[in-house]
Amino acid sequence: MENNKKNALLRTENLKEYFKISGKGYLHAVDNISLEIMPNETLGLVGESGCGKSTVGNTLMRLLKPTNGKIFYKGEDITNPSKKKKLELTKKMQMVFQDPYSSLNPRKTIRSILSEPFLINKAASGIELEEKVNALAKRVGLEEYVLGQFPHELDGGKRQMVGIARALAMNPEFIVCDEPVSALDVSVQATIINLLIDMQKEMKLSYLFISHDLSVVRHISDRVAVMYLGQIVEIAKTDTIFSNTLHPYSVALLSAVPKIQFGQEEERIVLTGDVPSPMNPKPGCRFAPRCWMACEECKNKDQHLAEVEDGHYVACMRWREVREKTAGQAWKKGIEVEHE
Amino acid sequence: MSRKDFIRRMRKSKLFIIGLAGILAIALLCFLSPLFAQFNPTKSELSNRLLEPEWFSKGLGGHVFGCDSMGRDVLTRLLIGGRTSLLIAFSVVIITTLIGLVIGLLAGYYGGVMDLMLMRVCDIMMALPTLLLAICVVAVMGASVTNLVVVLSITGWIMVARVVRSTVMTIRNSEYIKAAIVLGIPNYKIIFKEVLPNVVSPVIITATQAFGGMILTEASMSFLGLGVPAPAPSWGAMISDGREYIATAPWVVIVPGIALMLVVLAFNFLGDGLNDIMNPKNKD
Amino acid sequence: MDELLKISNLSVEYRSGGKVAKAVNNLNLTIKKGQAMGLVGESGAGKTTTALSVMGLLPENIGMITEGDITYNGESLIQMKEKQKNNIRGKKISMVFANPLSSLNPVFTIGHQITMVLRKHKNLSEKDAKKEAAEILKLVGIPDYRMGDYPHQFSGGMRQRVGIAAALACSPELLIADEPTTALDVTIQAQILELMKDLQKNLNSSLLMITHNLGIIAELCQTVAVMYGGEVVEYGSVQEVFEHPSHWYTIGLLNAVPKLAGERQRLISIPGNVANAQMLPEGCKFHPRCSRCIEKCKAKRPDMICLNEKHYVQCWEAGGRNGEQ
Repeated sequence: MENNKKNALLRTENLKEYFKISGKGYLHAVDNISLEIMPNETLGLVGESGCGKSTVGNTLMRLLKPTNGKIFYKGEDITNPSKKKKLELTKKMQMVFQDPYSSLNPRKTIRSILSEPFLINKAASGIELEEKVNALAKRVGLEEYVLGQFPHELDGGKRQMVGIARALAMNPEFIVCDEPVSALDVSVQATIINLLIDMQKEMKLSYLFISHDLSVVRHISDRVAVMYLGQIVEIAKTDTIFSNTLHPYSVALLSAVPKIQFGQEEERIVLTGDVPSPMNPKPGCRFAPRCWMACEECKNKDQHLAEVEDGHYVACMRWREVREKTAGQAWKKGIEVEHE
Repeated sequence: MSRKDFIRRMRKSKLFIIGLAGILAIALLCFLSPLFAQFNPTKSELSNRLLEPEWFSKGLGGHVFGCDSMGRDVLTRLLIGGRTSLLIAFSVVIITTLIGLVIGLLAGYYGGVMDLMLMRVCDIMMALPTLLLAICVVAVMGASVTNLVVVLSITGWIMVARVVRSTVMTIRNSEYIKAAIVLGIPNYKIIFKEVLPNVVSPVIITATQAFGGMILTEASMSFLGLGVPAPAPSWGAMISDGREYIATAPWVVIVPGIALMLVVLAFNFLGDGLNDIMNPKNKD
Repeated sequence: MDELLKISNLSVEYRSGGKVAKAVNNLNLTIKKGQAMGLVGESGAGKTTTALSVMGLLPENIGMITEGDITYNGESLIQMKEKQKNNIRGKKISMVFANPLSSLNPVFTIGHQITMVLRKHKNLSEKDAKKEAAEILKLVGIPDYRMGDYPHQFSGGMRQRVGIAAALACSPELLIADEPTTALDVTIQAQILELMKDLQKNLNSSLLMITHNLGIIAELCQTVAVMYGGEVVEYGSVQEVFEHPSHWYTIGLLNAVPKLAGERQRLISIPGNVANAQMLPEGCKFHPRCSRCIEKCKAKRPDMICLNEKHYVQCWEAGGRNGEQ
């Protein structure tokens, strides 16, 4: 743990992001999140809509000012960076957005969109700029004729490639991917996932991969954090979290995914009710009202992330019982192979 | 939309073509009128008092639309007055668009306190009755073309500001603005290079539609004697002068009335046509 | 089993501004009584158009059926008069939409909306209809004290329940669900899927489930039709098709989705982009993206081949390649 803290590329410490809603109080979008992202690592962040996963990404990218808590980049506090530092950080930290239809300015050609990062950093001009943009496009697999086109002339997959190219322009070290494939068709989705993995290998990138799709997160992440109502409820290595799921919410989430499997009927854990609003949350475990394991104690006692096994953190006091109850579930089988 | 697309769509829109042709024709007639006008618009010739239109008897040679109560040629006054009206409306639209654009961009982009303050100013301006304001200004500063432009501009920018603000607010939330911030592009550049190009078309549409309204307002001001000072001709003043003779010499009122209607109609056509052309949702 | 709905040789075009989009091309599909069929495909495959054609809800003057027939219990829905059709629509066939908020009227309470449907189709008295509406809502898990609430007072999942309740109001023989869970979170989706499973079991109605999610089909349906470029390219029992996919598109689709279990292999993406209905290729619609494309594929559309009685595929190569991946 201490070692992780020292070597982490990006680290947050008790990060909080509250939004004031007039007349109603505070919306706790992100509540006390501490996480580390190591160099060349992909951390998957999963959760349902409104759990605050995108807010975490936006706060890390300084699109939002944290209400409380600290963000460290390579050990340096970047919570409130100076103007100069900010520009420096934009080269190192980048973002890929969800909607390839709205993440590109409709009035600009692809070439002009991809030139922006070079121009703003005064990294190139004239013929050199042209060459750099060509090389950038080639790197992500865009044909050169695409550069002369406008965003609406491209299909979703190509647009997302442009979005990725823009993020890669200044050779960043860390990229927040905010649902980068959820707006794409299945067959195109695979192209983008492969591209992200290739780029990571080629450029030694670290990703924070935000998604609601568990199978995509499992595919791309080294470690996975599960969020519920602004808090991380479980975090562990990908293979661990999918084969040895210990938080009742993570279990329910996994169980809820429709799967292609025949012959082995599985008892699904169906959560009742809806995700409550993160407005002025009451003390006690936030998942307790919907939890299939909850007892009176859970409802009154705050749950904190605790390391239950090596590198496996769970915010539930009844994780042992969860493990017993879910032993032998179909989706736990066959997840033993290490990620290449 | 590329330029080629734009031109193709322009050609296809009937409203746009009719509107544009009408406006061009009227503007050309008005502005070139000094070249072919046969009469002095301000010189009265009492022998011609309320002369009937000579269109049928003398063709284009005589007083085509007759003369008014002071014996001045109606057609000449109409053309010269139209020149003034168009100029006033044009200046007002340019001024209001610029003011509205700046205020709308600031309010919409920065939001928060800036938005709150600017929009309250808008509300206050909205609550001011234009006519009352005009009367005050004229009372203090006297009636003149400049004062008229000032009065119309003071209240006219609010519409533009509101349109710009709401457009900017949607753009502000799109991901390409986030992407620009993440790239480290400074705010003023984002406003000019990312936001502005995307508000141009709604602004042009609003401005065109406001043009017709401005001409009408100018005419009502002049009608009430708050506009272009006599004896300089103006459509509003012509209608105002002629209303006493509506029973005996209807042409004095009808001719400027129809002209007014045609101009406003042409601008509305142009505005609607532009709206059809520029709205990317109207796919053809 | 009896054939409930039979779509034969259906072609649908959208025409606007001189452009023609061939959304559905010579489609054949049969749904039997009590059967749940999945219609799977990516955007623009013609899934929704097929559903709208069955419901007679194609946008007027833009979408038109150019060929083929749709029969319901042996009666042609296309030749049917509007009045007769209205009788079938809502009573015998009903539809659940992707976006439940836009399919409910915002100015009426949900109780009122369902009561209205019941009164119209079942000729019930106000009192009876109300009672039945309460029962239907209870069936989908909405307590009756919420009957006086307006659609906007419900959350996404609850709204979709209302949508399903409205569709079930007259115990239809066929329920068409068009991406009913796409707008919902996974845990809420699970609730809706469980609900639909139960309902299908208890009410013995037929279901046409339209989705791009292969998992949902596997869980809910017995048969599946894979659509691409407005055609059904593969068709059969769910297990047969998913375990022995025989069309290269189906194989590609299954390979392109990351799995929740098993080894994490590199995904195999399908090159290119989904077929554009405005410029469909000649021959097999999938050939520009297919790695096994031969000359024959470009020239002529393959016929539907029967691999076994539970499995049909429309591919020139399929005959000799049953089950190979």
